[in-house]
Amino acid sequence: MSLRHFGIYLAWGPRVDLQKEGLGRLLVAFLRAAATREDVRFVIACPQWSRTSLLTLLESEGISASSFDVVSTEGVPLILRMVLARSRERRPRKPSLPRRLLARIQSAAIRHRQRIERRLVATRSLATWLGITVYALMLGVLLFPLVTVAWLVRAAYRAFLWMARALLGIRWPRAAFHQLTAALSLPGEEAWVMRLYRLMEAAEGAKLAEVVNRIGHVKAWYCPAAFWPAFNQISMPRLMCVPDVVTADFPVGFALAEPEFLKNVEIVERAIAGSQRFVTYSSGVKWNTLVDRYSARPEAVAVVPHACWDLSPSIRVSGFLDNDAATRKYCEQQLKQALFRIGSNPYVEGFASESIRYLFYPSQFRPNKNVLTLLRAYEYLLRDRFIQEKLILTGDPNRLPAIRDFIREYRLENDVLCLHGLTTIELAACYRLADLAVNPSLSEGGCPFTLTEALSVGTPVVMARIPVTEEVVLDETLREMMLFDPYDWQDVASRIEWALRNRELLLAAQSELYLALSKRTWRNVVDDYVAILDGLAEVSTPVEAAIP
Amino acid sequence: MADSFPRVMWLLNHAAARKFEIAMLKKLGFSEIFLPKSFPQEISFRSASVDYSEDANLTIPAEDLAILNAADWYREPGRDTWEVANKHFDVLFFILSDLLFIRSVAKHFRGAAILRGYGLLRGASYTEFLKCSGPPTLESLGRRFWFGAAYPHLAEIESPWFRQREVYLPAGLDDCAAQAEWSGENPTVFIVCPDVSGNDVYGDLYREYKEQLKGFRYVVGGAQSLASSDPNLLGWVSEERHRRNMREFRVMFYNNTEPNHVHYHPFEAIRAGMPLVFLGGGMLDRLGGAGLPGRCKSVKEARAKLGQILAGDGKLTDDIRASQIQLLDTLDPRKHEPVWRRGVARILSELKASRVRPVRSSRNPRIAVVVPRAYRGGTLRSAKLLAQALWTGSRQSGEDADVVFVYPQAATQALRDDERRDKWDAGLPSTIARRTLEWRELDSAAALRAMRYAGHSDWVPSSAHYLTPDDGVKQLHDCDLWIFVSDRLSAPVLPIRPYALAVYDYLQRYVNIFSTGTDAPFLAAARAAERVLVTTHFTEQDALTYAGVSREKVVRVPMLAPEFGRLERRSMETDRPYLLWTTNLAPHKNHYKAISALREYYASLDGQLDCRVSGVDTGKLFKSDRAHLKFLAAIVADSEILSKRLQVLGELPDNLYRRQLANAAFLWHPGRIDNGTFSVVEAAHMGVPSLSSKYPAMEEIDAQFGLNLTWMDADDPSEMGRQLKWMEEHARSARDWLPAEADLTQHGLDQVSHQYWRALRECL
Repeated sequence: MSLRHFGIYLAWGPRVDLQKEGLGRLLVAFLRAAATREDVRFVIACPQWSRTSLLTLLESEGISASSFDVVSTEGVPLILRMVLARSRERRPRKPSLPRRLLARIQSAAIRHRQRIERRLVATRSLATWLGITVYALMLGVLLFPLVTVAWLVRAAYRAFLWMARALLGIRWPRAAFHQLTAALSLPGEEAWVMRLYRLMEAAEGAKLAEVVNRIGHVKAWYCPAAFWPAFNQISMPRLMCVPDVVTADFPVGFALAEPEFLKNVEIVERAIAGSQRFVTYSSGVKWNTLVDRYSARPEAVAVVPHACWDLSPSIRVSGFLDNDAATRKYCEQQLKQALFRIGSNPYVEGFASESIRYLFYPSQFRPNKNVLTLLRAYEYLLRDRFIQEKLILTGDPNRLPAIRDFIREYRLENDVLCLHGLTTIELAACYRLADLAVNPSLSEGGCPFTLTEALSVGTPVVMARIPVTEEVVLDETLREMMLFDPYDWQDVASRIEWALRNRELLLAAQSELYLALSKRTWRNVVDDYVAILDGLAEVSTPVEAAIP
Repeated sequence: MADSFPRVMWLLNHAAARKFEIAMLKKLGFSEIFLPKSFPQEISFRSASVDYSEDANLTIPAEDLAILNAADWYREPGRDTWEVANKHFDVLFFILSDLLFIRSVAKHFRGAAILRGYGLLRGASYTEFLKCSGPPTLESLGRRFWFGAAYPHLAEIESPWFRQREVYLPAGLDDCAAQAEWSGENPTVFIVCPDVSGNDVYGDLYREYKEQLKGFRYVVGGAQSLASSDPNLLGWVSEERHRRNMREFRVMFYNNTEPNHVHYHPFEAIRAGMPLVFLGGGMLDRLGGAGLPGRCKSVKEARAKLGQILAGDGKLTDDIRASQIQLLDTLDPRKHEPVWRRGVARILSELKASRVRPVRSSRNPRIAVVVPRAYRGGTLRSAKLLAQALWTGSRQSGEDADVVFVYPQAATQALRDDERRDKWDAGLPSTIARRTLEWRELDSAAALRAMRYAGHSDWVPSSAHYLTPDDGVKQLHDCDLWIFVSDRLSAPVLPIRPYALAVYDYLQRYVNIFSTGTDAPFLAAARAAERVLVTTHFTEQDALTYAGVSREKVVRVPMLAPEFGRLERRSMETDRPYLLWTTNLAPHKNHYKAISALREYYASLDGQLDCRVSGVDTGKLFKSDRAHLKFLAAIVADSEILSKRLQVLGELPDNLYRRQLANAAFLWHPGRIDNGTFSVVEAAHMGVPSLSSKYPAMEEIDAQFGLNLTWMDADDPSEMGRQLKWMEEHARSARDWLPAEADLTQHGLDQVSHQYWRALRECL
């Protein structure tokens, strides 16, 4: 079969760190598997501002740059260049040359003074003593004007800085500016800076679509997220991935928690509206979200489940007599590093990582993630059932004040640790060392990654009984062992307690499931996508580019 | 010990260093060398291996060798193992790996201890690293300590004391003979960079290499402990394959510019005849590489030379190969032998001199058991038992230790004046000395002075304030170990003496007894202690998972039960029968639910037993305005039957308490969570059964002593009431389930003291 080219459209904004994005990890897994197909080659389209971080990410993951192509927009918007230049200025720099020179002079002067003092107190000769004293006095007389001038200059500089700050602190120009921008805004429109940022992103996305439309040899395009309506400006056959639109099921939660999220949802809905062919990760999202809510044609929505997430390669140590002990030690070091880096107080920073035992729920704090139910269950387990594990979460409690307030109100600061910003290796280490992984999420695009991530490193997991999970966990006995009612904190607690007391039994049963699930590889996923893209390409007529 | 050459412990597992240094020691005349038979299973020990071959040359008893072979020579071998080592070995080489081992050497080894220094990365100094160690430091070894520098300049960045103790013992290669097999037929740059994923330093180094070698064909040697999909990484290869690589790859590039550390592989390359291109400014310059054609001032120059060599520039290749041989000379054992000889002679001479000293009369080790706050009741009793256990256990082990019991001065006065209470030292044998204490707070400057005076010149304060006990004599400085019975230390303890903690519970994790953050210093004190003694599995887990104490510091010891004598029961028919409720005013004692249960018992279940209440401060039980107690008085006042049947005895002296207990139908323990109460054990001694809340510590007490406790649910007053009624009706038969006196005495102090001694002797 001759070589076919397909495209991947990525239009992340300049602030996005691909290494920290879930989609970044997905892209890595996809491209690594795609590189094994000799009949297919992917072209990645991305804005210029993402090019370097994308290539760095892929290179760091061992994906050869020769296994895919990259096309980008030309240059970077001027406004972004100005912002980036300003942020570079803010980074601490080493002291300037004059400062360093001054420091050296001061140091030499102190040493000279100390020499004079030593001689003064040690001498027995009156003549020497007088000589030293006169010398010191003359030195003082000579230096005094210099020191006075230096002091005056410094004082003047400080006065100038004070006045400048005072002027900048004057409020009325700022207030006037805010009034003006408010007068020129529609109700509900975002703040000025955010608005400009989004406009810049959208404009770049459109430019990228233009670049893509000039590429003739790519037969079909795939967009792994529904964040970029400009994707629909591509004239070639298109396939858009819609993982989930979770706000639909948690309207009040998201309305209160993240007011700016509305704009994101509007963008996603615009993207869906302009698209005709979709792919998603579960039947649940296909039917409940795309077909029912967004009126997509069922035959236009394909379901391609993920492969397993195997975290073990990033932490499994080999080459030692006791590889298991070496792996554990490595994970403990990673955890210790994370505690020290992320810990917000000496209690966490100095915790002996080999001593800690914990439940683990790695997730952002969002209304659908059901963190409060887990916290209620945990507090009961700790204080009434006397389990002694801590609970480690990975979200930022400041994003959802209800979580932060619960932790404070129930005095759980020392037992519920929020390690926000874990690297992939630290995440794998946390999974490995956990007594149990827990996922109480009420809504996900597919079976939560927690299942395979935890089992890949030998940690059992208990999860919410939700449709996307039941699509994967089919055996009723296993469901009884590992699934709980996510609306009932007491059921959550009961399942966790059972799992802790029957850890080995649960792990053995789940290992069989993991073995079965791991038969589906990322190569299988790539094959499924290629089959869909082939199907789209066979249609061959360029699709009328949708109006964004 | 041999007359001229003592036995040596060479406590490293680095394969390449072992080849050179063991051969060198043998050349010098050492014939008996102990090598460790295990090493930490950690990525940083990838170059380590085990060698048993020297065991055949050791003339020590087989059982002693077995002990030494089984020990962990990188963390804490244990006191007994050190005794064996001290018996047979006088010289010890070790490396800087774990601070725990450093302190262990300082504490236990009695010979010459040589810290083998091969240089640290990123300009770090051994002095700075060792500052984190805490006392006892290597300084306490005095002239028995040596800094065995592998390169002559290493001590330049160290402290004056380190420089003073330096002995230059050069690093080398066992075989410096240049080989003639190199062909260079593979036009590839060979670099060595192990563990690019598992080690941050090498990860950074690899990123530099990749940047510097862009456009060149290269491979990376070195074991990779973590899997990587980078096709350039060779990973672990067999010895045969490694030699082939050295023969066939065209050139080695070494970009290390570390001032104090150099790796072995550049020398291996030179020995194999492979041309070495390296960046100047690092250790190779010091070793004679400064003017060599393979040296490069910049990456640009290095790239140019690499390019030439890969393109087949024979002249450059030959020039480099011919000239670089001189670098091997710097590792030649023949050159280093005289230097080693001189160094070792100094070490042995000083060791001999240090052993010729007047015999000082030694005294027993002295341990202070300190009650840091004015505890009474169970905690005070436990502290006294701990003191007795140490005294008894040390004598059982033939290692007599003196014990001093220390109590807060202010509280002793109050107790003396209160005739109703036992004195603070009541029941303590006369063999245990007594002192009182006040706490002194030192600011960081005073703390620094105190530590300097005590000989810890490198100690740096990390807190603004420190606490130290002041006994009005020597601030307990005459004691070798302090044990605080409780972790309630509001600031770090000045580490002028090692200390251990006896922690009975971490109640604050389960019950709101103080505000968030209040226990931060208590937890910090536990982490800094030498040992944390606990008496239940439950508290052990809390010490690990809540307090965050390192696993090796937490030691579980058996509960210490007091000696109880049996008292004659008086006939129950002549007195109003009663149950005895032993409690205090702490929130976890579950007073509200207990009172509710009693009301249920009397009002709904026709309870026939009175309830007598006893314990520390129980006289204030219905007068307290503490949040969890202030409504109790109203509840009792509202219930006529409760008012009639409930009798508060208050805090009783031990003999009166026992009389009350002996005549009770049963003992009642409705508390929610703590480290368990010995009142149930005492009750069993008296032939009195107990009804108790079910929680982990009580389950452990029940299991350890075989008490057959009757249980109730402390969260359900109705169920508690029902169990009270059941116990009333079955108290006589419940007595039959109690263990025999003989079974109880097997848990006595004499039987378990040795375990306490074993746990704490390691700290001396």
